[in-house]
Formats: sequence, structure tokens, C-alpha cells
Amino acid sequence: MSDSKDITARVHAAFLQEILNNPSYSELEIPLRSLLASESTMKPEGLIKIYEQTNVNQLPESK
Amino acid sequence: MIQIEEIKIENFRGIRELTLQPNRKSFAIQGPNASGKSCVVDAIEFALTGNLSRLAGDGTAGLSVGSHGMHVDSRKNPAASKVSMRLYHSRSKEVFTITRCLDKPSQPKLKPDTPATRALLAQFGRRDEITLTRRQIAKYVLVQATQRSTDVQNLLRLDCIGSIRKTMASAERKCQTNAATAGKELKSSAELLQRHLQVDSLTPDAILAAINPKRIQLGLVPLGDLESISFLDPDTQGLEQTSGHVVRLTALRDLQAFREATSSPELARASQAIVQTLRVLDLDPKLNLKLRSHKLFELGLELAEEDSCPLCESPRSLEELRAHFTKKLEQSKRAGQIAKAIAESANELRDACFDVVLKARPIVELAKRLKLDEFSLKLEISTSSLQSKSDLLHNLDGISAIREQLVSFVDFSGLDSDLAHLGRTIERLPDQSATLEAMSFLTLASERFTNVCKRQAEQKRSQKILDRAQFVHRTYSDVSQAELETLYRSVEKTFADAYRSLHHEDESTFTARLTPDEGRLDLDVEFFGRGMFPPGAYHSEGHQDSMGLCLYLALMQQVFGDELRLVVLDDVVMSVDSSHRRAICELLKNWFPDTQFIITTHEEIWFYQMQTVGLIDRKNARIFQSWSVDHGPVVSDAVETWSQIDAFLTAGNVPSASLTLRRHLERVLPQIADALGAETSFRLDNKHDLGELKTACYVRLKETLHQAAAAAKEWADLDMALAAEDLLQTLTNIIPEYDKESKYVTATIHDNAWAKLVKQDFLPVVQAFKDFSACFQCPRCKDWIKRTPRQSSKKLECNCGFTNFAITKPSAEQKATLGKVG
Repeated sequence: MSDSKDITARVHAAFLQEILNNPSYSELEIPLRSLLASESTMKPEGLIKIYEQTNVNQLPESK
Repeated sequence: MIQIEEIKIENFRGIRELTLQPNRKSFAIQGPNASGKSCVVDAIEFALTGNLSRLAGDGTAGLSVGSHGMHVDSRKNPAASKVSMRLYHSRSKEVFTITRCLDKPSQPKLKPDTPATRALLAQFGRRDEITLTRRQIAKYVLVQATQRSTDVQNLLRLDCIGSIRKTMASAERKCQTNAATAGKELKSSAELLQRHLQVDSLTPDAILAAINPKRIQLGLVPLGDLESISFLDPDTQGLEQTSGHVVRLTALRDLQAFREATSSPELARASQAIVQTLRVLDLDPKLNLKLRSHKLFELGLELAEEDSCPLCESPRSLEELRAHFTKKLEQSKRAGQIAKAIAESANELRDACFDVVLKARPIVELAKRLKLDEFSLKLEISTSSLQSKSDLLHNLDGISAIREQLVSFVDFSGLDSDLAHLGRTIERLPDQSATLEAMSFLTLASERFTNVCKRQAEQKRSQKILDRAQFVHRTYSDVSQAELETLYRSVEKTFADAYRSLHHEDESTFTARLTPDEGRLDLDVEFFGRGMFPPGAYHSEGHQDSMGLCLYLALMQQVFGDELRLVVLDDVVMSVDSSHRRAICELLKNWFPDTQFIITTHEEIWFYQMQTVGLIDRKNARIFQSWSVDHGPVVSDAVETWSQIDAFLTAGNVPSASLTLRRHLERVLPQIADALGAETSFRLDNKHDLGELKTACYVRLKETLHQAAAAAKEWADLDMALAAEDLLQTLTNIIPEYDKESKYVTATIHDNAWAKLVKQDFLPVVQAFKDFSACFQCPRCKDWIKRTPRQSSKKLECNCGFTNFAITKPSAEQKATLGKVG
């Protein structure tokens, strides 16, 4: 049986794995995993917050 | 998934009181239009979802389940309007009952009420996916690709993938805007520094080459790099004197840059383009109206997330809303192009305004340093006003509000004298001493350099955030696209296989292609070897109906797989001809043996085909003969016919008994003739005389039983031979009785004086017809016995297999084998 819920879960799992596989973006994996779990209430602002807050140390210095 | 054991309907839509017992098996209702068939479909949907899609969508404004779900005479007592269903859950093998009343449609009563039964019901939510109606059948094949994508994703329960993708795209757009703004700020700050240092580029060497001569002038050591944020050493003597000082040449250059920005050709060009486009709209009021509604529909489509319109809050299903907005957007395509042109010019104008605002900043600062406070304030107010106006350029309403100002959008002419005065003031500044000039130069250079560093950091940060947004969005799109591709390959294969099984005689090479692409789902189908086209391009309406049904079934199978146990088909084969309807029966029966189909139709032949093919047992077939507002549908079935006739006779109503018998014969004799492949004279209108049909059926069965008896003897199956001969003898005995009594039926119906029969006279008539019918029925399942296959028949059998005569004799080889065994 091809359960579509499985398909959604598969898409999310493959997506998170791709994120994890890329060293430049791997730190996004955990917060994105949480956000995907609340898919129905996901808003652009929530995503932007994740993009802004993760990996602060790697953000460029002020020079 | 669940199956229906029993459904009890009370005071719901057009039904007063009705109980049907499908008993987990497929069930069919046949009747003319307006006989109450669809009320049963509505009742099933209502019981499962609390919703009624018939009361939502186009043309249903003002209608609702709560106000119009009950029987018209029960409007004041919605609690008396209810639907109960006894359901069987195939996985847990448990039976439970759901009852839903019109007074509280969202609060079903479950028995037993357990978390498991609640969870089961929650699966249905507000979805009506188990039901396919005539109205819906075309939506999978004939809608626009964007709408199909939405519909199919909803049916496949993949809508969350689409919505997450949209959210990611929206976040990316916002990050893009932020990064663009940061880029402009950086560019402007860099230009300021370049103007001051008078260098072509801001490389470390160029900057050092500009500042070090000034440091040497001050007796400071030349800098070797740009590690220090300040170009002056903190303890430089006289540093405090430079505070508020103006570097004359830089000030003049800043002033010139500001003037050039306010008179930039981009400003004029973009303003003029907007004005001209608005004039086009003035000349075409309808286009203007469409442009406004286009934006509104875009907004509606973007915001549609629930079963009510996001613009007016009227209740409509999400699916209807999206279809409506998409259709409206297509209709206002030209308006969409105008909107795009205006938006592009507005963006250009906004960028040019932003440049003016950025270049005004050092002028404001300069004016303050020169104590021109009034001018400084005026300039601040003017730039702030320009910024506000430019913010209005984001949408058409805003543009319309400032339309009159577009011709001279950036107008600082009121400050001309002040600017001229500023210029003169700068010119008149006394020559500074070389030392002071060097210190002022380095102080301003440090300020502007610091600002560039800050803007650069912000720009890098914004870009990094944008990179993340783009990567996340692209990755999710790629991954979901790949997964959906696999899914759609599977759906299109099932769809094409199913369609080919219906149209194998002329479309045996039929293939289909579903192509998903960022919010779209294109469907192309093969047309007689001439290529792939959209379904509506060349295929007939009947073929499109077949496609709609096949695609729906393929999608449902994808969603539920082996768990697909219940599908409701409401009058879905209107445009399909009878040979293909039989193929549909075979498809449903053979491809979905464990699925309970609840089927309504006004087509008698299809209703009958469902029974002969074995999709529906005769005891699960109901005829809705007529309907009245007071009593609802008048229901009958083959078994009940004899009970009805008995009831009429008990009441002494011979004419009604006779009429019922006649109607029964008119219905069943064509079915018997079809099952046996009886031969009749061809008639264009297909209306055969009952006597002709009776004879044809009799002759065919007699011939077949002779064949069966002879074949059984050859197979050395004496019991079977005896059974065939017995049935043949019964048939032969009955026919004279049938012929004798049949004249009374017609005579009684037409009220002939000589046929004024009483109950006792008519009983033998009824018995003769009962006996005659029984010869053509399986004694166990009561289905009509039939010759199978239809061409080159080999058997006389029923659907349950109890009646099963071979009618072909053994081959010489088989005979030899039989001889050896014997």
C-alpha cells in the first residue's frame, strides 16, 4: 500500500537528510525538523527566524 | 477503511424515512431523475463528515447544511433530521454506529464511543473524497493544471507539501527583499566613501593611498593595512577641533550627487510609463475593473485555506474557492499583463526614489554641521515624504492614490533656493589650514569607512540568510518533486491500465502522462497514436468521463491501496455508452474485489449490467420508482415485487397487482434475454414486445438446457444431465400455463369488462409468472442465469456459482482421458 502520509513523511525525511548532508546548512536540520512537525501552523516568519538565528558564529564580522 | 452495513435516514433532504442494508457489499440504486437517489449519497457524506458538498460551491450562495439539510417539512425540528450508519472497520473487524443530527452536525454520536472510533471518523474530516459525482468527474481531466494540482494533492492528502512549499517560497521572497535593500544601502555608503576619497574602487590599496598622505601631513605613521577602524590615532592633537568640520570638496561632490539623483532620467521614465499605462485603463473601464478584481482574485487564491471565502467569508468549499479564483484569474489575463507592467515601472521608480533618499542623508548632515537647521529639517521632511510616497508604489491602490503626483514624483524645487544657499555656503567656507583639512578629511573618511563596514556586514548577513532560504526552498522543491514524480508515475500507470481495460478494442496502446511542476500538474493522454494531448483536446465526452472515473480510482487506490473499501459513485456514467458501461462494471468488480461500491444511476441498462456482471447482488439492488415530497422515494426491488403484488391482492386491488406484475415483466424480461443472449428481431428503438421477449427467452433457455444435458452426458456427469433435463421439463410444463394466464394481465390493466377478476382468479396468474421467472434464476442467489462468455458461450451459470452447467462437449482428447479414468 502506498500511504500518502508515508509520502509526506518520506519527503520530509529526504529533505532533512539533504540539509544534514550539506555542511554549510546542516545546522538548520534540527530547527527545521521541529518546524515541519508543526506543518499546519508553519509561517514564513518562523522560517526566517530560523535562517537568522542559526549558526550566528559563522556570520561575518563587522568588517 | 470502513464499509457500510446499514444506513437509516430520517427526515433528511428528500427522504422521510428509509433504511437500506448493503451489508458491506456493493449496492446500487436506480431511478429516474428526482427520485431521491442522490439524497442517499448526501446522507452518507453527511454521516461521515457532517458536511454536504452539494450545498457548497458555485450557485449555492445562502445555502447551508444547518438550514437546508433537513427535509423541507422538518425545518423547525432539525433534531428529528438524522442519519445513522452501522459501519464495519475492515482492519480492526469492529462494528460501530455513527448518528448525526441536523441540529448538531459537528457532534456525531458514536457507539461505541472510543478513541479508535473517533480517530477513524476523523480520517474523513470535511473531505468527501470517497464520493465521486457526475459534477466532479470532469474535474480531474478538464481543469487547469494549477487547479488539478491542488485537487489531486488534496485527494492524495499531499496538500501539506504544497503549503510548505508556498511558505518556503514566501520566506525566500522576503529574504530577497531584505538582501536587496541591504545591497542598496551598501552601494550607497560605498559611493559616499568613494566620493570623499576620490578613488575609483574601494580596494585596501586605493583607500590607503588616499588616507596615508593626509596622515603623513599630520606627522602620523602611514597605515599598512585597514585593521584600524579609525584613520586618525586617538591621541592626535587637535582632533576635537575637527568635530563639526566640513570637507569642502567632498561636500560639493555630495551636493552634486544629490542634485543628479533628483533629476535622474530613470525617475522620469518610470513615472511616465506608469502614467501612460494608467491612461490605457482610463480608456477601458472594464479592463480597469478587471485589473482590480485580478488583484483581488490573486489575494483570494493566496489566502484560501478554509471552507469559507477569505474575502467575503461566505461558506464555500476550499476546492470550489480555488477553482473559482483560478478561473477568474484566467479570464482577466490581459489585466494581469497590465498589472505586471505597472509593477515593473513602479519598482524602477521606487529604486530611483530610494537612491534620492540615500543621497539626501549626507546633505542633511552637512546642513546641520553648517548650522542650516531650518533647511536641514525641510530636507528631512521632504525625503521622509518621498519615502512614504514611494512605499505606496507597492500596489495599485497606492499608485492610484498618488496618481496626480506621478508626473513630478521627486520634486525638490521648493528647496532650490536652500540648496543654492548651501552650495554658496560651502563655496565660501574659509580655507582650512593643511593640518586641519587633513584631520577633517580623515575624520569623515573614518566615519564613512565605518559605515561601509557596517553595511557590508549587514549585506553579507542578509545574503547568507537569503542563501539559506534559497537552499531550503530549492531542496524541499527538488525532493518533493522527485517523490511526487515517482508517485505520479504509479498513478498514471494504474490510470492508463484501467482506461485501456475499458477501451481495449480501440485504444489498446493508450498511455497517460502526469507532469508535476511547481504548483501545476499537467495531464496528457495518448490519442490514437497521433501524440500526447490534454484529455479535452480530441477525446469524446464519453471517453473523458471514462478518464475521470479511471483517474479518480487510480488516485483512490494510491491513497488507500488495499484498504480502499468504500467508494460512492453518484450517476457517473451519463456520457458512456452501454458497451463501455459493462466494461466499467467488470473493472469495478475485478480490480476492486474488496471494495464496497454504492452506486446510483438513472440508467436501467447499467443497473442491470451491474447485476449480470456480478458487481451487485440482486438483493442489493433497489429501484426508486418515484418520489413525493410527503413520502420521499418509492422503493422496490425484485424480491419485494411479489410481496407488493400479494399486498395488492390481499387488499382486493387486482388492477394494481396486475400493473405491478406488468411493470416487473417489462423490467426483467430484457434482463433475462440479455443474460441468455436470446435472439429477437432487430428494432431500431429497441422496444420489444413482451410476448416476443418471452418466446425468445424460452427458446434460448430450452436450447441451452438441451446443450447442457447433451454435454453432461458426454462428460459422463449423469447428475448434471439429470438436473438440466429436470429444469427443461419444468420449463416445458410452465409455458402453457404462462401463455394461458398472460392475457389476463393486459386485459386487467386496460380494465376490460370480461377481465373483472377477483383475488382468487388472479392468484394462478401470479403463480404462473413466478414459476416462469424461477426457471431463469439461480435457486440460491436468485440472480439470472447466463450464458458465459457472451460470445462462443461455454457455460450456463449464475454469479454465485451454484448453478453451473457446461454446454460444450469434451474434445476427442478429453474424451480419451475420461475413458481411461472410467
